[in-house]
Amino acid sequence: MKHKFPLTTFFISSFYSRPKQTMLQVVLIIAFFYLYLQLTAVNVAIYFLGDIQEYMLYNLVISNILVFSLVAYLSISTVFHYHEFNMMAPLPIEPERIVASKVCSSLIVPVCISIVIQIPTLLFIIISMEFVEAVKLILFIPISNVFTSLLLMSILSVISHFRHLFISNVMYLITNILVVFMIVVAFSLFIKHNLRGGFGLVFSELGLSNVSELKGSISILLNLIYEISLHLPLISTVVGEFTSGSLSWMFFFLISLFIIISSLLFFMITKNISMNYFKNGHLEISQTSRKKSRMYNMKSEWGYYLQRELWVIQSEAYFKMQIVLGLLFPPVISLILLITLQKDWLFLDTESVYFEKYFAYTLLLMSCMNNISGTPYSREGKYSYLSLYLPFNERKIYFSKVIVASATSIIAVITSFLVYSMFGYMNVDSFMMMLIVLFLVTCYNLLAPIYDMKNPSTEWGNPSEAVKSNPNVLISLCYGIPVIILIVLIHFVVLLLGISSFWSTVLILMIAVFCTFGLLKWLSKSYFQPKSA
Amino acid sequence: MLTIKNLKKRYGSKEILQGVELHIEKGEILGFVGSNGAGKTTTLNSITGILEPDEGMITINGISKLEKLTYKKQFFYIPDTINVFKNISGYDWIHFVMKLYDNKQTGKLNEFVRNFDMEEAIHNPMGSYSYGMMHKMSLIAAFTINPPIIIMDEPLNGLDPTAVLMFKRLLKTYVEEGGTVFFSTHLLDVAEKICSTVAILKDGKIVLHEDINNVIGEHTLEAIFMEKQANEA
Repeated sequence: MKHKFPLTTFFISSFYSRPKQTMLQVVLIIAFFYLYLQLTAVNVAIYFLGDIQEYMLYNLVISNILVFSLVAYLSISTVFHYHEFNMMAPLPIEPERIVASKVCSSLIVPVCISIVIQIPTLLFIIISMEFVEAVKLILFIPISNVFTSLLLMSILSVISHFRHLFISNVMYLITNILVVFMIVVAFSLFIKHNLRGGFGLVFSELGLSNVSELKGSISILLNLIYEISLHLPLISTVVGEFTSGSLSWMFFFLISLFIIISSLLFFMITKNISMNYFKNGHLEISQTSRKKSRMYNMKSEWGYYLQRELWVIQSEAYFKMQIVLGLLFPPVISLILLITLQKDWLFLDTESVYFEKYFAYTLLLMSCMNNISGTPYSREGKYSYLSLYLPFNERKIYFSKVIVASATSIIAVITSFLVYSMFGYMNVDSFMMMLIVLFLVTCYNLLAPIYDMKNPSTEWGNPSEAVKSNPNVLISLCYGIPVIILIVLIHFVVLLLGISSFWSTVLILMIAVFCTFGLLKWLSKSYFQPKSA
Repeated sequence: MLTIKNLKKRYGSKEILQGVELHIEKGEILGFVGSNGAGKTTTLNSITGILEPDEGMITINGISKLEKLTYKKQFFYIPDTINVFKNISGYDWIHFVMKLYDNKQTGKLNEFVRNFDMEEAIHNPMGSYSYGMMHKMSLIAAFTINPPIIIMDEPLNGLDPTAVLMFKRLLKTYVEEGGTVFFSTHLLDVAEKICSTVAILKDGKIVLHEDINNVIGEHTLEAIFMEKQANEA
């Protein structure tokens, strides 16, 4: 089959490879349709609760947030890495062409997804006979999405340009993630700076006690967001032109401006990355293959298995970064959350009995979502064969994976609670909540690798395919999360029934301990027993 | 020593192994030959546990494949493409694997390292190894661990002439001390010189399994192989 852009097609197929197992394909399709339906449902609600301007703005914001997230989530590990270097370097292709194709391929899928979710919006607008808005939506949303993606990539391309200055691949990956995080924080602060207490006023008017109050509150919130956007420098011009009911010269001028700036950004990204393509590509490959990991002098048999896990993680910078993120993400988010609470930016009652529960369970969710236990077998990739022909005990392999994931989670949870105690919230209840989170996250880690063990996706070239682009992540969540949801629900039901905070926490702690040891017993005694000798 | 009974494996509609039957005695060096796609690697993968066959039974020293760990400690496998952790040194890896095999005799390790001229490289990360060095490292591991049977897929690939000579010498000593070797190869002249027995696999079936001296007689193994291919066709 002949492709017009073979290199771009090549990168698309290598970045977003379709899972081989039919089961995974089905899960992916279901997950996509579920998200699509959910977004459409929200879309319908916004359509009926706000006016056409607010509706247009909502769609512009949601599509840009989606594209930003997808590009940040998927592109860092593709565009700004050199997994294809060994294959491409000997071929007679200019680095500019390789980089341009990589950038295009990383743009196409996120932008297409954001366009697809706009289809219901477009239908609503056409049904309402708002044809000018429909034209604006068709013209402006894809252009603004491309612009957002390229803006993000252009910032990251500057880091990529200086890739050779980083001492390790892990440092480079973490810097990329920190920059994305800083962009989000900077933008949030920019909005906060221009709010001048606006949200506080609206929050005081919000009511959630019945459906009509909820509807009213959403209307107020939508209106407020629209009003705020009209007061933000630069953004106000864009929003004003995009949401107005007429097609002006200014709108077309803005579109042209976006196209010109996007082209310049594209040119800048291509130049930034391609200028040092060979230098950085060679460096990345050699850093991966020539850096020596140490072998610990393990005395016990479990030591070998943990050593092996350590080697698997050390085999790719991407996996090391995941561990670092797993350790840092919960405490950092906890710190931000607690600062915003202290500054009264979030309107939560810290004196309420529910507060420490909200904090603990948010932490639990973060520790589970940002966990490495969902894809530990896929992560092994080509090394997975070693455990098949060498005399490894599969039960010990499984538990060594659980230990590594749990150790990461436990450190992250304890650090987060230390941060929590620094803000003066720690008491006996909070301590018990910490124990509950520790036991529940261990429960999650005990269950999450089961699916990946049975269906590992080991045929990957780019390590991100083994982890975040791996549908096993989603399925593994389904294995681990239900137990946690059930226990959390029991906790809130018990509280609602009027049992005191202390005794409800004691009860849940006992359930969590029972679940953890029950699962441990089931996995170690029954699950790995040979079917016949 | 190694017994394979009625081994069958199917990929989709294609039956790759159609009931392979093989028995290897202790002290035997079996050369497993066949054309591309005959099923050699599938057979090796089935023996070593990489693949689960659809049917059949495999035992080594009377130990069934179902007794996973005990069974796997009976052999050491050297695949054609060796994928080991690239960030660790060959020396650390061999030590690690030796522990898995409960082998604590490190005495011979240094001797084998010297024999294969790997004194310097063995302490470097394996990511820096060439294909041949990777094979040398695996051969050192195999001879140091000294399992009852060594299974190899194209063991001579990438080895320099000195390493090939050393390999032949160490193989001889290993077998004299009671070891057994099962290896697949495309190099019929090598098989002819090294093996004590030869098995020819064609379209998923063993079409010949004989003592090498009985097979070749006045002919070369190449001639016998070509004749078998033509006859069965």
